[in-house]
Amino acid sequence: MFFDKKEQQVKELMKEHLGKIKDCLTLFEKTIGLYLDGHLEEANVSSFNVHKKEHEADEVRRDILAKLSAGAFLPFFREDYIGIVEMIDKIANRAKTVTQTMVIEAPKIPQEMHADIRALTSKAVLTLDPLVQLTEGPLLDKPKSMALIQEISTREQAADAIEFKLLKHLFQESTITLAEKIIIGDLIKLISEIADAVENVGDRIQVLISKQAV
Amino acid sequence: MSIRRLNALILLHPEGALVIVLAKLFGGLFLGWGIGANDSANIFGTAVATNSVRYKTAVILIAIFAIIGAVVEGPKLYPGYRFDEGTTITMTLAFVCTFAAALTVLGLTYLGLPVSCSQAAVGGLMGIAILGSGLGGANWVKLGGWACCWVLNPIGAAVVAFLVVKFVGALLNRWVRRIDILDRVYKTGLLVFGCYGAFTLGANNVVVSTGPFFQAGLFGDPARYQANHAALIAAALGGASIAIGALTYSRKVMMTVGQGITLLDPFSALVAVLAHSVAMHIFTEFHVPVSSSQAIVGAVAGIGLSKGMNTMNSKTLLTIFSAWLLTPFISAAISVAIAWGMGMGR
Repeated sequence: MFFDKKEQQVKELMKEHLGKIKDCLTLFEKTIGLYLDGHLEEANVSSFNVHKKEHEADEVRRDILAKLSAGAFLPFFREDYIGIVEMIDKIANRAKTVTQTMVIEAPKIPQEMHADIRALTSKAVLTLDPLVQLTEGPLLDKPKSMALIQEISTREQAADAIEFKLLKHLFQESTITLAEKIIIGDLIKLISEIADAVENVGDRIQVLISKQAV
Repeated sequence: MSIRRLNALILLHPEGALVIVLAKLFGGLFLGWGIGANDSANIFGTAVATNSVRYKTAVILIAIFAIIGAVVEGPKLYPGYRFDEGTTITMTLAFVCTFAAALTVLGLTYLGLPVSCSQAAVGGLMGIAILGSGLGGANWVKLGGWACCWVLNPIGAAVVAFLVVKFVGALLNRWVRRIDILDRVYKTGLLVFGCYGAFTLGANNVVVSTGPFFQAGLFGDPARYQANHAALIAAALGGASIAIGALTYSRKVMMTVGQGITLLDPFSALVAVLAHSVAMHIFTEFHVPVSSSQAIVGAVAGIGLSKGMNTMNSKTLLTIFSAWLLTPFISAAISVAIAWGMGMGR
């Protein structure tokens, strides 16, 4: 209809934004894999690609905010949409921070931790899938949305469990220097924060959904 | 009725030249303008203050629908808009009662006291009825009936709001499960109910602006209003004055009132405008002009009650009571005083 043109545009842009974030996380996972495999040069190039994708996502975010500021959605809902878009964008920011930190600081990660770091990365990236489904439409109906928010939370908890296991191993069993432990520990926490960032978006969407009740 | 005939009626009016007639009509048109400027906020205030509807769009819609309401439903209030049957209302008396009402509105607004344009106008009319027929000759029973309607107006709006929140709210909760659809429902509702609100404002309140001039015969013999379309012309002119008030001076009030009630969620804002408009429409059918502001206050109270909140405090109640009691009596007193000052009724 003629009066929901701006809302349709926001809906399309949000889909595009999440597509960029998903691409960014795919490149992020690839970068971590390349680094752990010892392909440092390729990891460096891939890290730059993460940065480029994050920048592209930023551009789309600006377009969405411009459309929202121009009056898409009632102010009652608009504030939440702005918050959600800002929070989605932070997911890509975190991915960029992890890959940059990794290629700049280049910590020597003990071999026995590689599998778990790959698993943690994979779990963190997987939290995005239910969020993509959640924002399609742009929002599904309440029961389906609540189920997807729960799914995000479950996946985030799985990532948390691996993070805990990795940190425990790092500080209690690993024999590397304390400085290396701190750098690798920070890196593990940063990877896990990607799952946290996705969960935060889910929580914010829950606030928006609660406004459905009249 | 053609424009030429309207011109002829005004130009050939026995009470004087066009300028004098227009000067006398000024009090009524000023009241109409005041209604448009003040009461637009009750209809689109929340929507405009929250940027849900553009101010320009809102005032254009108010202007259009207030005129439509005035022309379609307004004329039925004109024949009964007087409190004495025996005396003749002259143009000067019509001027006195509308001017007294305008002064009351200005004075009470200046003092920061609540005021209702329609109740001030009715007070002014009562003043000239007392002047013409004496205290015993004025139709107190009719005024009492109208006063009952003024009391029932916010109560009726509250009841409508309460029922709409309970029943329509439950239906929306059951049927609309997506934010984007809900957003569309609210946006459409704000525009549709806003237009209905403007329609009922024009329909119900237009009589206070040009009603006394209709009774004075400015637009033709009031006894033959169905044949000469006098009520229709009077309503069109009054509707235009309401429209001009909305177009020229409603922004400030709209922002003040709108921002004051933005705590309302969109559904409550919709219900408030709908309940206000239904109440105004009902009293239009009873041929009684009522206050738009009191209807909206009642509607908000009804919404609060339906959600288990108390939105009415002692200050709000005092505000309404003082408007019910003070406004018509002050206006009536001023009306009598002006008439005496002009040498009438001695």
